[in-house]
Amino acid sequence: MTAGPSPTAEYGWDAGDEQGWIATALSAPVTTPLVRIWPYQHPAVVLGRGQRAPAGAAQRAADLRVALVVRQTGGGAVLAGPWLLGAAVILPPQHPFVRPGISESFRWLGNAHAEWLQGLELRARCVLPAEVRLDRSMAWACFASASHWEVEANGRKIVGLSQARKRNGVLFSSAVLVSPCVWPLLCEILGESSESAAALAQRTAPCAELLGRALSAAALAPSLLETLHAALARAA
Amino acid sequence: MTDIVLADSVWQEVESGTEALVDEWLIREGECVTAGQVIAKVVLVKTTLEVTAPADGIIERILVPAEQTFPKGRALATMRQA
Repeated sequence: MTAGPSPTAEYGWDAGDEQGWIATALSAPVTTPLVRIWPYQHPAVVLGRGQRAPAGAAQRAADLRVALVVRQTGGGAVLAGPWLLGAAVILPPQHPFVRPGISESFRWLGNAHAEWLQGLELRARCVLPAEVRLDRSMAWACFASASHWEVEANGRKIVGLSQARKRNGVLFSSAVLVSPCVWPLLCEILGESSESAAALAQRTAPCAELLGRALSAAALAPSLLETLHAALARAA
Repeated sequence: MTDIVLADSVWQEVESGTEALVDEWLIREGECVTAGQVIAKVVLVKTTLEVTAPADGIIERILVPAEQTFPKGRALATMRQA
């Protein structure tokens, strides 16, 4: 058994369950912040809202026993699995972290993740709005570009962020690359080239690679949860 | 006639030239809507946003169909207020 948190109301394990939890949470007015951490146990391609699955992707995913999920938030696809640590924070629409501009709204979440990663001895920093690097030819992949307040080290992305604004509440999602992702699997399912997989590997920096030691998402989950709760407490 | 536009405030600090995507329309042309009703979902900079009717009325024309992109300030639809 991997060292890490026991199943509680603050942790989940499956990308499909995550979207169900989010839909339930946003089905009624949100009056207090909700946080849940997702050390994913099984591979799943998670498409961004507005992203259309390419022809044949569903069949390829099924053949490879990988779930195919569409999330509430925007952005490109990620490959969830044991290499990725997800977080979902749902706030009331009037919460001070929900700013009018969507870029500024990402700031607190990016800073919280950078602070957390710095605590792990990583030289992490947020991508400022003026430093955003978008690769429109690879917009299908979250980790191909560096967007507002996402987190990187040495110019390589570690954390992807996304957001969904609903009448009942605002969802902030993050995905932390803990250990090397199986990029060829994501590309195979989405019908993308091996060159794209290589580009994703070059543009990203898993925490384990930067630290030079093995890490598990489950083991990191409690400290990320604590960091997010601390950030929310400071805003209260 | 009233233009339905994604609020300028959400575009703050979004780099010039960036466009948003209409993910889906939840109403059709000619349909009655009420103020605050969610009529479309759009995506801008990794963020999904709900577009709401600004008043009671009838949607006259959808100007940006689903799966098409639009720049800041572009009217997504027009409506006639009740």
